[in-house]
Amino acid sequence: MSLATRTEHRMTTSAEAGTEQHQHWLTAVAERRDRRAFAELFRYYAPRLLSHARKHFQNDAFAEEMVQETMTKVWLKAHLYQNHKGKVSTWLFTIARNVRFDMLRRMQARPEQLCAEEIYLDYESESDVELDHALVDQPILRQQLLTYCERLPEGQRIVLKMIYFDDFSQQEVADALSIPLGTVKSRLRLALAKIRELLDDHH
Amino acid sequence: MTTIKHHPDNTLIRAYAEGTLAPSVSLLLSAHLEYCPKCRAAVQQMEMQLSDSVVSAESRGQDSATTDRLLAKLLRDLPEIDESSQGNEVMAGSTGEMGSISDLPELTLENRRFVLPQVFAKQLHKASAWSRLPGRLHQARLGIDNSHIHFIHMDRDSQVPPHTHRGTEHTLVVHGGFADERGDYRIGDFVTLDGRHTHQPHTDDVEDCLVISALDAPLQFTSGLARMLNPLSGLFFR
Repeated sequence: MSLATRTEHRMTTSAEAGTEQHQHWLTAVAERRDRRAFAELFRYYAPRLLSHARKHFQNDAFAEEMVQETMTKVWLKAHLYQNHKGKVSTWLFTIARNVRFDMLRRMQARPEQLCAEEIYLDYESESDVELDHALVDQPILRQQLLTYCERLPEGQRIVLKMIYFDDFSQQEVADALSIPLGTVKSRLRLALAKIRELLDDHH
Repeated sequence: MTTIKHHPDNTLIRAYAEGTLAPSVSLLLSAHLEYCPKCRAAVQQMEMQLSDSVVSAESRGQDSATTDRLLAKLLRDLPEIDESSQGNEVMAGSTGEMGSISDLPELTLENRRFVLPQVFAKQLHKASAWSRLPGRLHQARLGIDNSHIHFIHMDRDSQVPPHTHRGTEHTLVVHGGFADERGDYRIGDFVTLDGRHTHQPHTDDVEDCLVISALDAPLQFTSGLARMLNPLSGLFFR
């Protein structure tokens, strides 16, 4: 039994080492447009993606197109990968899935186009309003903010308070209030716009 | 502290993660994910599982010549990205998103407004006008693919005649709630019904209800007067 445990442990370690290596390559692509790192990623993933693609496309040319389009997106979107959200392989898989989805839609020539990015939203992406944290990190502003908060419509006020004073994430707010994340974002955005307006009036 | 009780089953979650689910149903499932942390985690888990199997699958009959050829071609064609344009792209991206988010997806019926999941923001322009149905119901159609998506609004204290489904119907509650013989359904709940189920959804006298449903075959009414509606079901749920 101890042998089994040890083997399992070794396997995990090697898989994790691979994961780290892939993150390292991807970072090099994101930060330095490192073609050698990209080639390493390609050599690892392209053959695997191609086998996968061949299960979905009889035509080899389509399978290759899926691989090339996926890897081009990896090149273009490397900076959007966030390692806390999962492994490089999973991120790559979702890109490939979306590419395949869109290729199939194009082949069917549906009159009502619906592309993968319209369906597979990025639920945890909060970077779009993150900049505003800088705005409220100073104590004076926090106090001011509390006063301004009272002037907001209730829905916006609750969301803003949960996020800036109770340290909820946007997702947690959405879950707690049973409202879509998009609604949290829009309320937050409206609230911040209003507060910025109020701040400007005072300066 | 979410109150969601009804979730898409594992087959749907898997097909969604694979990208093999009908687009209209994918859209509905994606909307459910906006309400449901449990299913978001399930999708992530499934994506990880699927990607692991892609990675670990034997790539036999793969010659490195093919990889080399594809790599050489791709390296030649790779779009150049200079840092400044990348910055612009990010900026443009976030402004674009801002634009779409301030256009909160909202559906209006008479003088009521309903906030919809974000995923419908880019789809709403495909919605038809509301049509009135017997039983204080309203319906609007979203034409996507052969299997259409419907917004169905039930007023307070109203009911849909008993019906069954020739295909499979997936329903997501986005406002209020309704009940049928099998239970009650609140905001965020995702319900799947097929030909085995006959049901008679109704609302209570407190709150109206808006659902979005993806249906791949017309409803069949099973009882009394409502059966007379069957010839009209083309108009009803198509």
